[in-house]
Amino acid sequence: MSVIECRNLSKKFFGGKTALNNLTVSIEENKITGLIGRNGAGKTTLLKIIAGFLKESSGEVTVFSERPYNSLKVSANSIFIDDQMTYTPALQLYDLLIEADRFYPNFNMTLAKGLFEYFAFDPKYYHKRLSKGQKSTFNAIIGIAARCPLTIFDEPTTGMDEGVRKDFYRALLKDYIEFPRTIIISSHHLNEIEDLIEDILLIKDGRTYLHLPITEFKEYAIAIKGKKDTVLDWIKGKEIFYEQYAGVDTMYAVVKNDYTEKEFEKARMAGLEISSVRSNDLCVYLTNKSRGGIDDVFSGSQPV
Amino acid sequence: MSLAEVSLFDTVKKQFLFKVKANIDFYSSLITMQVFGIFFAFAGISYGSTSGWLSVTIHYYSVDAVIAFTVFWGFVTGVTILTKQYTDTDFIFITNRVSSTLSNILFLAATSLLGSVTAMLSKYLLLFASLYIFNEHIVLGDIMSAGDFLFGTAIAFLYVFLSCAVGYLIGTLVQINRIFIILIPALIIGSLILDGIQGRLPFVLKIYEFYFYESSVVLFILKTILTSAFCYIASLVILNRMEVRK
Repeated sequence: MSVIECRNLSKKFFGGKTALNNLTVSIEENKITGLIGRNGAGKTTLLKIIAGFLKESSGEVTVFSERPYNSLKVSANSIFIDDQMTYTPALQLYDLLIEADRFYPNFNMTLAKGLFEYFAFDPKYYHKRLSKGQKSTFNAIIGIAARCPLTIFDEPTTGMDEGVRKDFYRALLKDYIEFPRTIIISSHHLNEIEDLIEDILLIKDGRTYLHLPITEFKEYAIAIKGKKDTVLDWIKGKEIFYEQYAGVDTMYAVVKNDYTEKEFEKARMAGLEISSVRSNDLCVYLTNKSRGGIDDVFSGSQPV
Repeated sequence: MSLAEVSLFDTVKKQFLFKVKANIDFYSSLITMQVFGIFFAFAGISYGSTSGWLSVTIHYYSVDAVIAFTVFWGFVTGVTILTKQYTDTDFIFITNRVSSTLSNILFLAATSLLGSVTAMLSKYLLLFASLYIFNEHIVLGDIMSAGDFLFGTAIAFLYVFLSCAVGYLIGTLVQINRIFIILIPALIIGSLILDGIQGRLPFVLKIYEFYFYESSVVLFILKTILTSAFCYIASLVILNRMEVRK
């Protein structure tokens, strides 16, 4: 069963900026989806529409079979965690947990308290005075403990140090196993979440670029390195995601992996090096505007 | 997993209780305004007359100033409760625009009532001060009957609540566009100038008279409640279309 359905979803902001452009996607129940995209690809806008904060400009969006905008049902069954959360300055950290417990029906206070103590929060401190990383950690505690059927984390690890990040992902996974729910995590760092997520949703220019199980995504592309002419010959007619030149005659290219084992054999015979592509790099290649990446900027100005 | 079914009533109740705890700034601003009101009440109105060897000065202390300041507080609170800080706080936890508005109205009603009661009670502070601090020779003024007190409080409450409602509507307009911060005062001052030039009774004064010079209690109650209801409903209709946590 799918929890979220978007069909030709578009969002234009006042002033004409198009954040989402005919985006279609469907997210299944009790899956952890990683939402990946470059800055300004429309990740936050999509998540805020799903959470019911923003109104779609056109197209259709349903969450729990209901239009999320202004829906009490969606609000009660979802939580949206980002680094912009403003809590009332009147309440101390621990009181905020108590309030969250009062609102969210599935809230697990024992877990919240446990995490609260583990991350060494002072119950009498105020959220406003926490550091950036601590704010994110506190928000993450609320997000995990709320146990909402739809849990949305929009770049939850902003400012967190390496140790806390790892702890957070581990805590999220453990609680997910105990209490399965639909989780969407947006991040710039796929390498951080690739072991956690089941599906990857890659968006580019406000559209769904691809939506695959992460295991398939890991084999989505391959890299070939070797003599320029041989490489070019071998990748002819293929979908090329990235190309880079090194030295006079060496070329490195990333292409869609739809070769047969026999073809690989032939390539190796021709002296080409074939390797897998790190998922994180692949994401960057897929979402680049040009095939050469930043190098294209410089190659234009250099005498050849 | 099964979805939680929450009722609007339940959500509004939770949010109201949350606001009672969270919006403490409004209590302190209420106290500050009423203290100002009390100072103004002490400054009071005095009549003096001297004839030969006899000199009489009458000081007239009234809670009107305290109520007036409370009315002003209501207006400012109505506007402020809709600023981004407070609205975003609502949408951290379970809510939609209807429950957010309803709980705001409840909160404004509760604090208006609180403000009206303390404003009425300030009469005793004035009495006490005139006796023991200002050492007035003769103090005329008595303990209100319970009925008078309740009636006075109810009327004060309606003024304050109406002021909250007007503030809320203006606050809503300001949320649509900041231009209203300038536009609304400009319209009021502009109309005063225009009416002044044309030698008419100012329109703003007519509005003031419409509510404050009403001699029939029933009509007054109707006027204030209907106007408040209009302001809140209009706000809700507008707020329903507005996005949050942008």
